[in-house]
Amino acid sequence: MTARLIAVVGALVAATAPVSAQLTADSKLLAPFRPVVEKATESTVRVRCDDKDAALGTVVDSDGFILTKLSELKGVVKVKLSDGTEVDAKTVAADKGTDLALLKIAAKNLKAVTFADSKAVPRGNWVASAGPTSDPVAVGIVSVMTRKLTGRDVIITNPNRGYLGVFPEDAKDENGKGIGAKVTDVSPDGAAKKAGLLAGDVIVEMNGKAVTSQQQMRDLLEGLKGGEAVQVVVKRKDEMKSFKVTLGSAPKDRGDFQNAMGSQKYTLSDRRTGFGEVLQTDMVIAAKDCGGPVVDLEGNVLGINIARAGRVETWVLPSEVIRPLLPQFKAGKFAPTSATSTPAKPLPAAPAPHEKKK
Amino acid sequence: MTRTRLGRTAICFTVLCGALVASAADPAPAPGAKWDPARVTQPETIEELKALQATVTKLVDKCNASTVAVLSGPSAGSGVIVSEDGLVLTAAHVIRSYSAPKKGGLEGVPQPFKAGSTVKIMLPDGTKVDGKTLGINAKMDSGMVQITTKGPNNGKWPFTPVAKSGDVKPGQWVFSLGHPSGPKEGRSPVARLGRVKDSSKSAMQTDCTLVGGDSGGPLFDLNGKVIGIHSRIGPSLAYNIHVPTDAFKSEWDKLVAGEWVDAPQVAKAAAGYLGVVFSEDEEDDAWVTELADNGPAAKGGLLAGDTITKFNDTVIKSVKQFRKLMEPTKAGDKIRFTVRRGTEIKTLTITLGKRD
Repeated sequence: MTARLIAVVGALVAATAPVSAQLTADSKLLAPFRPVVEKATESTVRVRCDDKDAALGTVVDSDGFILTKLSELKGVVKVKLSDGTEVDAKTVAADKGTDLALLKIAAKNLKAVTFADSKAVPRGNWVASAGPTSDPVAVGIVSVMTRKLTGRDVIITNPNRGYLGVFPEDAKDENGKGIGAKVTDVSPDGAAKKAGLLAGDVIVEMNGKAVTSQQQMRDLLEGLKGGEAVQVVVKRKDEMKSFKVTLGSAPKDRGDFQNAMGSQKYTLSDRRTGFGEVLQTDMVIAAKDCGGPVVDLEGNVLGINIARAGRVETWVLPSEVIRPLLPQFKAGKFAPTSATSTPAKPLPAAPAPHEKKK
Repeated sequence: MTRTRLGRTAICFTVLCGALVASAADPAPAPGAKWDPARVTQPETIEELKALQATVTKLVDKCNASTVAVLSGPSAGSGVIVSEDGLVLTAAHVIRSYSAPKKGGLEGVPQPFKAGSTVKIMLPDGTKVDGKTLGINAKMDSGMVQITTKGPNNGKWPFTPVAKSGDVKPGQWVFSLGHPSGPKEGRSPVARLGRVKDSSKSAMQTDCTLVGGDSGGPLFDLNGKVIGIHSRIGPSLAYNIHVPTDAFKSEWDKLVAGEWVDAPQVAKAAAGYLGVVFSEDEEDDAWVTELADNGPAAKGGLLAGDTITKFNDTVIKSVKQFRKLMEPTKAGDKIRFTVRRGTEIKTLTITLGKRD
């Protein structure tokens, strides 16, 4: 199947790009939005990972429950409150489907948001993203009303995945036991070929981890980015050889290229596909500012910014998706499986959610 | 990106000296006041934000029905119906064919434009109807398509009228619709809000963000009329370029008649005839994109893809130079062409013919 090419706006390299602020960066325009986001700002916190700003968080319970963007979390997670104090956070729910994480911090009397319906909000309606300060982090309009995504947009992909450049198959011993990933061919300009791997090599180890199947090799690569170096051990005839391979990047098409135009400051989210339902806006927001609440002019919280998805779009996970998940998150139904920093303390008891039949 | 496109972008866009002066002296409008479509300043209060919102939501809804996707060969762009008989404005590059990009490249070479080619027009509800290409101006990036089936309302199409883009002032609020990244199932035309940053006869710049697939889609003023057609982008998010509607208006009849307004000049009729088509860019190497069937070049062994490097003993560096050398020739002349074909160099002696 060939993908439909996109007729493209001829990208131009402007030697002298005019100095002109986009809506989001226009401080004069942001001023009248201050009262609009005032209440939501009180429920917005900064989420920091390994001492770096990673996302925003939305307070959903006065007892210290905060929703944020799961895929931005790594290492030591802390929450910076409005008074500047940083407190430890533990991840009590991690839902890969919506890319939401529920954090718990030791705090009381936080101001929680109330989620309002998003479905009837029409195209052209103003939206504003609350941030940690009185100015919104972005303003814009509803570009497409809340909708179910289709096609490639519903598939979770990792656009920054590292590429090895081999065509692997399972290698098995005489008893049918998996012993590695056999390279049937290498890409002509691929990372593997450059490093010296040959067709026929059997990859048995990557970064010190044993590889016994091609799927296992793919899984290991999934966690690595283009440009990263990986130590690969292969069996060539009866010899073991070790190679340092600098992984390549995903091939970029015209759409990727254009969507990245303007993302120097407002970086696209790494996880920007694979959601079920979103409200699409033209807000321009940086990836690290996702996770905070989005309001209309009345201050109603329509949902949470879930991804900077492209040059023209930021996606909001709508209230309708979040509300039924929250009690399940609190009840531990989406407890993270391999959390590195989960303390041993038991979670506060929460009532079981009322399951609704669809 | 072709050199032509680069050239085109050099036309305008001096840095604009922003005239967005806050008018502190203006009295606050009464609640429920209407947004003035000609206003060039920011909303300053929630009431003003609401007034602007009321206008934009109403117009997005109204202009939706005329916003279409234009599916031409393997590519997908956008367009807007501007008359009840189904005339569609789009971008020239949406309805031209391009060769496959070279390895590692992002854009192919534009092929000669053909009026009357079949395209599909996709309506906002996903229905597809037939259309055919009319004319283009490639340098301006303006193009027209005619829907060839009858409209849904007694044969008439929903449409949005075209306004004079020359009246549009920097600072004015505008919105765009289109199909970024191509049409997607279950997704309506996508709305974006912004302001006019600069406007000239040949191009309009706004901070309504655009991306591939939007090309050909409409930019509207807050009277709900079409003032521009999405064309191209720059690295900054505020660098979104639209073809002003006045550029269409100045050659409207030619475009409707199916003319390629800025088609490369053909050699003088009296000159000898070779029967080749070159890349559109006159400064480009003289490489052959197409051959006339059974023309002198085809008979003489020239192939599409060959680059003509010598005309007798004269080295050829550009299409322009080649055309100059062809001017004094006549039918029956034998010319020795040196061509580069892949890594090979070939010499072909071709007898020029007569233009039909």
